[in-house]
Amino acid sequence: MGKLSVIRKQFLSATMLAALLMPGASLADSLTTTKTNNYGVPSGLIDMPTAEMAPDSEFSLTVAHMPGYTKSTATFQILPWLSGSFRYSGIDGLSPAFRIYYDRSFDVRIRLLEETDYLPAVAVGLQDFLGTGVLSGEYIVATKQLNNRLRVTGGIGWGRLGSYNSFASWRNRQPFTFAGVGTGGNFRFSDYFSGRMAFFGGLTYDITDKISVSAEYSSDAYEFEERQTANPAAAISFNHKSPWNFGLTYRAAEGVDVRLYSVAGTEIGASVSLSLNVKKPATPSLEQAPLPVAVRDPAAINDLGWTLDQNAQQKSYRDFTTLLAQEQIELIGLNISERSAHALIENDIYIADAQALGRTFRVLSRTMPASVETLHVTVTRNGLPLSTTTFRRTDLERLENAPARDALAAAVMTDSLRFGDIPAPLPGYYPKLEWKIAPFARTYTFDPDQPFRADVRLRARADWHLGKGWIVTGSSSVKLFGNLDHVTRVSNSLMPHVRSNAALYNAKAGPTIDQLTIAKYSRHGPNIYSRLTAGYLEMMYAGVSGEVLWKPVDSRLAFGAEVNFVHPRDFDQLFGLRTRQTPGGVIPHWNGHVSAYYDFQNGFDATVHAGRYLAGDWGATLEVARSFSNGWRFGAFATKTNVSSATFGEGSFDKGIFFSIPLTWLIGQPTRQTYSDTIRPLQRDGGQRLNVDGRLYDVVNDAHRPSVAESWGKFWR
Amino acid sequence: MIVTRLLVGVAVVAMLALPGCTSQKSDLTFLSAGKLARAAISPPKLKLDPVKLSRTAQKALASTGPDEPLATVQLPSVKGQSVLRVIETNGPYSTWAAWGSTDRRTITTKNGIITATRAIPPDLMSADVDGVLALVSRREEGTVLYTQRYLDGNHQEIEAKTSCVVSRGFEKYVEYGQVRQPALQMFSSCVAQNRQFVDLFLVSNSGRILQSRQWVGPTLGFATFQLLR
Repeated sequence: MGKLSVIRKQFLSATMLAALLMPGASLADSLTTTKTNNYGVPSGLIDMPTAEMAPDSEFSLTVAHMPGYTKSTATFQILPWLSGSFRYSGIDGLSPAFRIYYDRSFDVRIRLLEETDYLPAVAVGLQDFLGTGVLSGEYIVATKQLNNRLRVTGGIGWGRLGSYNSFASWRNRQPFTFAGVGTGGNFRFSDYFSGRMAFFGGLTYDITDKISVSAEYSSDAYEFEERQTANPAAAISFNHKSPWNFGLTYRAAEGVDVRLYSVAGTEIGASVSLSLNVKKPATPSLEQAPLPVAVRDPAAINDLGWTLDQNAQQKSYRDFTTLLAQEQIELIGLNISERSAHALIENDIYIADAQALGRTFRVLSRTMPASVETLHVTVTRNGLPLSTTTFRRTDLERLENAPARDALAAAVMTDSLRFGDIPAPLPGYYPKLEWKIAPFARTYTFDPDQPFRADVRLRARADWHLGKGWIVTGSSSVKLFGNLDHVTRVSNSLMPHVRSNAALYNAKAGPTIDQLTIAKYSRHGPNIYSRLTAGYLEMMYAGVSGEVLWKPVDSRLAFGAEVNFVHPRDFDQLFGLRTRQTPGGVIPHWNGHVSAYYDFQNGFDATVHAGRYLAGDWGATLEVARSFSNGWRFGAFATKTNVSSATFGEGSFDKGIFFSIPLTWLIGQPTRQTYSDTIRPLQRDGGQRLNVDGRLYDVVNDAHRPSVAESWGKFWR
Repeated sequence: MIVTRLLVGVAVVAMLALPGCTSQKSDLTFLSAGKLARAAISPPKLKLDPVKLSRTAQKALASTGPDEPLATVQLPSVKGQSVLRVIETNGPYSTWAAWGSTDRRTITTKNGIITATRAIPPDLMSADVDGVLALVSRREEGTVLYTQRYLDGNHQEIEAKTSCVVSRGFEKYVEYGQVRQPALQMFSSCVAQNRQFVDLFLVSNSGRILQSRQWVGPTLGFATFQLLR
């Protein structure tokens, strides 16, 4: 157990370090909690909210269950004062139409005032603010920490949170009914903070560091549940006897909270909450030490004898190749001249290109003849030269033991096309074959019959790099096990069925051809990148996709345009195509977008795509994401197109959340492998884009100055 | 807890993204993830073993040239110990790695004061030690600034500045490896808003730091660094 306690100790001290070193963190951190309530939002109470926030970048997953009720909630602390949640809840027998009534909901909470010595923290929140609103409520709440162990909360709630013992009412609020649901999925601006209002409050007391108790006076009367209990057609049975709820929370381990609670004087439930902080890797880095800079003998700097000595030249090439391979960085080309050297590399290993640059420059310093003073490193992906970083070798020698920011100031980053003499690929570098065989999971979520289904499939993928920028990709998979073929609901979409037939594609065990394309990536001038992809582009479409991107190497702004000509594929996902005619209309051949990308440099970025979507609908998508230098990414998107909510169907418009988890964060080993996914509350046909592999912004952005600078701490690592 | 997370993580990852086999050497596969999980469950038994360390030190002294710098380092918090040799120098800085092994972990010192670690996470990236070094090597008392920089989990370099009071202690006779000479204890008591530590240096009459116990960082705690020559 020695290592376990060491790891634990390391983690604890790392946490302490972070707490100690963050300027101004002490006050802001004083009213944070890693506990969550039944709604999965940061709160030490049971059903009621508090003004507490989770620590910045904390991600939590809470499952709260009491007989007949299950709520699963994912919450992310987007900023120290802002959190967002996505919830999936199931209530047995609430509606006569379903055995279990499943509902998706979003929450947002904002801290308006930080706690001071005398005043409490104040927060405002919207619960289930989008969609059908069975859990909807709004609140203004204040929480004060009285001593190290005791926190007191009081607030005013509306909606669900204004339903018990309300003291006043203003404006009109539509009560929740199944009849009033319509297509759902929209904002209900006129309802927020309207209708009856009531007080709520509670206390949390930490008995020890691991055990805490809480008691609350709840303003949720569970009215709808009680009304449905009286409805003989519904199967629910709920009895609200008391506004007092009680909870006992046990911290089973770092990041694991277990709670027992009572609600309404009649129900007993339990919850589990798992949390992690995106800024604190689960495993300490297992990366090997870099090679140190080798400082030249000043006497050798003007010795050009090596230029006449073939053996000396070959030795430089050979040593460089060997050492770079040890760093697991791929060498594509290398030019050495009297006073400068230029290496062309591909980084397939480090999340941060800054780290690959740092290691390559140090290897150059160890292997280049002493007369070489200017060092260039060009980073490439998919055969595209993306950026060239230049150092004076003297600076590298001088700054090795200085703060990283000094080296950043000395680095010059330029568009690779400004160099007339980019090294040519080494002889024999092309063609290059990369392949992998890996299992993966395909999920189908939020089907009212069963909220989660999945298949595990085995996929073989090969990327054959024929020449500079030419890539042939083939990917095929076969089902190992799963239940995606049990989906029985057929699409009722009034639009061309561009995505809502997913179940028909998912049902095929295969082997299926997931992708079979030839792509050409090119550069046509400074700041301009292009991609042309043809073949079986994705699971559902074959065709041709063309894209152009404008992105200066030091710019936070980029513009792109994409045009696609597509035809729907057969459900068996082999070589055949199917008719474009669907019950909801004809799937058009042409779609495409213009896009704008902006990196705010504070960890946030935004993207707008505007144009024609797969079903022929016109509109725009807004994506906002928080990206971490360590590879984590959380974001949300919404698409509004020129179809009415009624035509779009349930959900009214397309929206969802997306995330990326870097594997290196979990396991400590360096790898660029990342798990990414998009979760939509509903998959409909409006506002759908083609899923083409290798979109340019994702290929280009990591190697450009804003991204490299954000991770520059890794340059000397 | 980290280990739980690691296991949950490995399970999720294994299901969703890890290749069974691949042409890319850098890709993580099922196999390597399994190894990691196993290492997390039953980690290799590490312990501080002064006898073994001194045996390795004797071997290193016997098999290297008389001018080749050698030292030992002990990191009690991670139960790490090693005989070190210099693999590179940059002006007054020396980068050390384990003698007789290809273990890629390094420690960098400036005239005997640790300024950086690599692959001993969370790494000390660099440090400004000139103030302390000047007083300690001249065996003088005074107050100086001392800065250490760490890499956080989000690739940011975080600077920790402290103020240190350097004071003289007692004379000691140092006998370690081939070092046999009188030295003076020099203490450096550092206090910042949220942390404090006392470094100890044993400095020869010529101002060389022969031995030290230095605060490397909140996670690693103290390192004991002793010259063998």
